[in-house]
Amino acid sequence: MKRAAAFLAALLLAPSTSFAVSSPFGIATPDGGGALGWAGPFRGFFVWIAAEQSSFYRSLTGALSELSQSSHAAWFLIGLSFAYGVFHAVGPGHGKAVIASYLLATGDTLKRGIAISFASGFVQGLTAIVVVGIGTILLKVTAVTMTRATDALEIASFAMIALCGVWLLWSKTVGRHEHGGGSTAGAGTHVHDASCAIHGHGRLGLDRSGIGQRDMTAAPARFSAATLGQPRLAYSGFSATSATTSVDLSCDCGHAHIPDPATLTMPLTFRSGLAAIFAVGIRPCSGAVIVLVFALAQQLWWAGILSVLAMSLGTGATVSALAILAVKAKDIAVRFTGNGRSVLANRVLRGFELAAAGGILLFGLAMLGGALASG
Amino acid sequence: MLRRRLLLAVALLSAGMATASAHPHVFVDAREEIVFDATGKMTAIRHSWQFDEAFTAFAVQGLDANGDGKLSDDELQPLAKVNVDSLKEYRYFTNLKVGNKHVSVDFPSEYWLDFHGGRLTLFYTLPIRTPIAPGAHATLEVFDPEYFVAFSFVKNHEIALTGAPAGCKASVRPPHELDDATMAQLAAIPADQHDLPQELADAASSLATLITIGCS
Repeated sequence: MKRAAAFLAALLLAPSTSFAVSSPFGIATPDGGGALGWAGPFRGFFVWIAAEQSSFYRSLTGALSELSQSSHAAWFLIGLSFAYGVFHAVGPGHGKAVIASYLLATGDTLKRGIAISFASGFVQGLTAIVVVGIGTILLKVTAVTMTRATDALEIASFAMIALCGVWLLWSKTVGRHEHGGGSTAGAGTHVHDASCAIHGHGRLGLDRSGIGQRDMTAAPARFSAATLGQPRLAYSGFSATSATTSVDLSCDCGHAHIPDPATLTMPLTFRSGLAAIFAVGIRPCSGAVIVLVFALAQQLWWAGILSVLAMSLGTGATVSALAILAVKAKDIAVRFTGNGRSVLANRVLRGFELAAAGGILLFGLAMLGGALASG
Repeated sequence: MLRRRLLLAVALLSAGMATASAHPHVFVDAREEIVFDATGKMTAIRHSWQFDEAFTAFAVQGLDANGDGKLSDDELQPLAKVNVDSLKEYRYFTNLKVGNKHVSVDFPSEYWLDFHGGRLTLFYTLPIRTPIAPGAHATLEVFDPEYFVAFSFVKNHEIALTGAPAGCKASVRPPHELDDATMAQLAAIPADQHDLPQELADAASSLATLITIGCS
């Protein structure tokens, strides 16, 4: 088990070994990120991806050039942009690793994961539009200045990613224990779930944004329903006996319950979800910036914006697919280790979450260090 | 059993986490020239790299300082300086070898940009630190193994030998079809590593257009 956890941690940390890169021409920075995929069993796939995105990019700029002559070219351009976004996002950058790790760390739902993926892609497109809008149209800056601006945004993005990692780690370790709830509450594993509801304590606490959990900390070993105070009203559905019977924390329902992440982490998710979206999204990708400036140079700003938005959609689709894969992989690992019914499953889940949060932190720090060193 | 299932999950996850290497954002149509001295030694490499329209548009934005709609040499020169300064870290994407020995080059002795027909061309000259005769077999590659820059060569103008002794000939071998295994091996190089170890640079040669120079 430990070996598997170590392997997982190594896997998550692997992308952090490569750093942000400077541009060979001093303008337009390559999208940073690892070359991990090349070495793995999927290299054939990535070779194909590299060839595809290269040809889409060329067709895309070609379509932009021909746009002034044909109105059909606009649809062609949008389709190409979407396809380019899909393929391009498989390449480095675009926060796939961060978003996927974030979803693992928070145990966010698939639906929210997809929403976060698309939102991060959209913010990334928007950043490119804002940067080019301000830089090229308003300030008429040079490519050198523009590159400095995007590099600064990149550094901000990496710093935010690292902070996101710190925040997630904190909330998964210190923060969680302070609340006394969660999947592991020390030696006396906190046990409850639907079939356990007769005991009437924790399920309520979980469903009511953790009020019950805090109260439980106050009564660490045994507590009666009376000490729960507020939640008592909500007990109306239960029999008087169960509500007044004191509850043993080592309740013998026979299994530890993994709290429903959707309810447990809701306040955390909302705020840190936005943070993750912006951490990833404030770093515009070179491809989008170049295409926008190129469109502007031909007075085709609307085509540039449509193209970048279509690209964002494509990027969001790819990031979503990878996010789904990450969440499903976690589900499978957790299910196969006992379907939420064992201490092992709990450890696997915790291992995933901590490794993912730690991975985000180290990824952010490594990229930040690399960007600052090369800048 | 448990471990196998875990490994399966981890494999799935790794697919999700894996990232590919960069793909070209800059497309260059290159012409190369090797300059010889009177004794038949190579003294410099002259590059002429024409950029694609999109990268050109990005590169020239805001450079028309006086707003006359034209880009003068004065307006372009600072960018040319930034270009060659930045290229140094990438060893100018240039790999000249005599026999199997890498030939060192110095910082460009001259460099400028030319803007024509919506495309920017970077001209620069790399002095060869210790002039050397090509002998029977010298090779020149201009190639970015990280694929941020895609180099292709202008047909029939790939290479010129200037002032070369009679009996010197250059030939051009187009890149090999992308062989998955080789390319994967190459691309496993971290993106932050610009000065490749010699053996990796050698491995890269099958993917680059190979210019061969030989004197008899």
